[in-house]
Amino acid sequence: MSLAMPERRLEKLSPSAARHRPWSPERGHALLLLPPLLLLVAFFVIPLADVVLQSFAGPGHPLTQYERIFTQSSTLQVLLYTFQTAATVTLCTLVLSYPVAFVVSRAKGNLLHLSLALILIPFWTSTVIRTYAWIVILQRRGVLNEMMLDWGWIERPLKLMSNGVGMQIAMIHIMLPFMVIPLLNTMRGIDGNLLRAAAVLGANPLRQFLSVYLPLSLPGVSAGSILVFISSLGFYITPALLGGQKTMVAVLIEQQASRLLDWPMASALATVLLVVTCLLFLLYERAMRFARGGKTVGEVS
Amino acid sequence: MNVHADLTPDHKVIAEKRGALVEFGGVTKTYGPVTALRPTSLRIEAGEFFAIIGPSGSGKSTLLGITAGFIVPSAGMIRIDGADIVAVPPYSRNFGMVFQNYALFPHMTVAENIGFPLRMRGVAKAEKAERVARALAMVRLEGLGDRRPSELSGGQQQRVALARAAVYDPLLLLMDEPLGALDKNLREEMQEEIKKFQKALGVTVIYVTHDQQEAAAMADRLAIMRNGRLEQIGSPRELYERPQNVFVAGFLGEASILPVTKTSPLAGGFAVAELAGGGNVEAVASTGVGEALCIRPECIVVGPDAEQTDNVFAAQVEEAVYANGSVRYRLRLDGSGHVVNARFSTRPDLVLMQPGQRTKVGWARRDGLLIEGRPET
Repeated sequence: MSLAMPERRLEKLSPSAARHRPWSPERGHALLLLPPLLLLVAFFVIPLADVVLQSFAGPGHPLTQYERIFTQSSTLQVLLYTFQTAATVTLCTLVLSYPVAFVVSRAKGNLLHLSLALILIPFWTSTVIRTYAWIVILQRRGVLNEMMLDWGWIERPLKLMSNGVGMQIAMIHIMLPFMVIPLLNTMRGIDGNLLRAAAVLGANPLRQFLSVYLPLSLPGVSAGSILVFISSLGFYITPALLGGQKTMVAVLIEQQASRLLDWPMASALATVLLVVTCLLFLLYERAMRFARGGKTVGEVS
Repeated sequence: MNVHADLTPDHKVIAEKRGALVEFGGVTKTYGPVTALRPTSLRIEAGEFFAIIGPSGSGKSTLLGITAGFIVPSAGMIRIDGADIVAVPPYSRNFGMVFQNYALFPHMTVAENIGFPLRMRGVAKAEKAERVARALAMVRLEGLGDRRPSELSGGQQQRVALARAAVYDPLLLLMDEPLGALDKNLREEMQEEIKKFQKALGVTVIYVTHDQQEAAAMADRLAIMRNGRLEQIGSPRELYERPQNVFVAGFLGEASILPVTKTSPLAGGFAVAELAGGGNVEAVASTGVGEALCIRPECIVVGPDAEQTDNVFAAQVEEAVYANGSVRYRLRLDGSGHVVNARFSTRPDLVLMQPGQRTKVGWARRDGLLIEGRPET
């Protein structure tokens, strides 16, 4: 009893110590928020409002642009393709990340640091550079095709660039850390004793996973998925460089704005993307609050 | 009953309400060069409440983990009612287990938690509901089945864990510091409750704790572990009154442990020993040659009555502490300079001695034990 007392006292102290932080925005320090707030209003809120307003401008009645978006099959196809791509990328990223996150969540010491570094280093590398790297690998006479030709696996170079496959591969690669980190966050919080308890209570490894581990990791799954899905919806650089014939909505916006100079259309498309993103996020928040019995998710962004 | 047979194909379980006989034969665990558990042999009777106590790192959790099946022993066998289970995975062992932090599934309700082992055994819905309800009633949590574990108090969570571990009538219940997270009053209440529970089920219990008082209050027998080996096994009273070595004597309750240099046997199982620093004492030669003398604080007589005892010393009071009807004195013996601790109950009219006061200290020779090991100084 005497052996465990000091430990327990420490455990009790730390959360309350965190609560009594010396600095908090409520204590008259709110002024410190002012500079970033001004910056955001001047360079983000106002331009954004301008974009939304522009989408209602142009010839015809105010909703002309939106009518065009939802009646022209070409724009509808772009929107559909964007959602399809985002969904595919999210699913593939999840499938690839889940086992990685599981293994890393169990790692300790040097192995943990090494694996975290391996996850984060690509994360810190510019998207443009990584996209160009994928072009070098995937193009018609690129590293991958040359290798497979040399080994006799294929007769003719595979088309990976023009049909969107390469774009999706690159996007999955770029999105991986956004999935792994929320998953890791949740998985590291899962008490290992819960799996042991499930085992003693009669659950074989598969049922331990399905009835205990998977449900407990769902907050990480949904946080990572929403993050990847929303990021993928608005992805520009990779689709622009690797996309081929099919375009994502961000590329379409850029075309409308800088090549066709159709600002109202570009603005309307941007507004649709923004609204859909916000709706998805709200839906996700709702779902999480429901799943957690009223508490918010936090921690992940 | 079929349910049990399905779960444990390797050894058929007789599913009646009684505990299992548990035998450990040379169970060992090494991690590379580190020995977590030295060869341990132990027999726990059917229906026995057996506690394992020891400081952290003593191997008690390793032994429990091996029993549960989380840890594969490096050598040795574990027999449950005669059948070796070392190769049986934890989910087929059909044991119950209560964890220190309860390990309740946070995403399930209380009823779902208790029903989990039944679900894993494919128990039909109606029977499951009935057994869950019975288990809830047994731990006095009727009506709380729809709550989440996080909405319950520590004591209630503890009871859910207990119900979950017992709802499928296991033959062996493993408990890993189940009361460690509760405050003192609740802990004592739960001690009684667990004890009643175990009696009612007739289940064999292996109870791991570092709280010696808890273990002594609950267990039929206890084992004290240190450095991966069993130091001594016996009833709580045996271990307290007849510790075999300095570690057991010091771990279980209070004791004055004095170093002795020379011992020579006397008739009747007694011996005369020379205290390091001078002075002779007569004591029980319990383990043959002992290097230390152990006296329990309630056996030490202080004041004029000490003259009547077998071993009398002049001493000075160093400290007097009063607590809830009893008083503890720390006394330094003249000559050898050793410190002994005395404790006895007080009455309202008793005048307590003050630090610095001179007095006599003594104890009967049957109350002094010569035990193995060197006292820490």
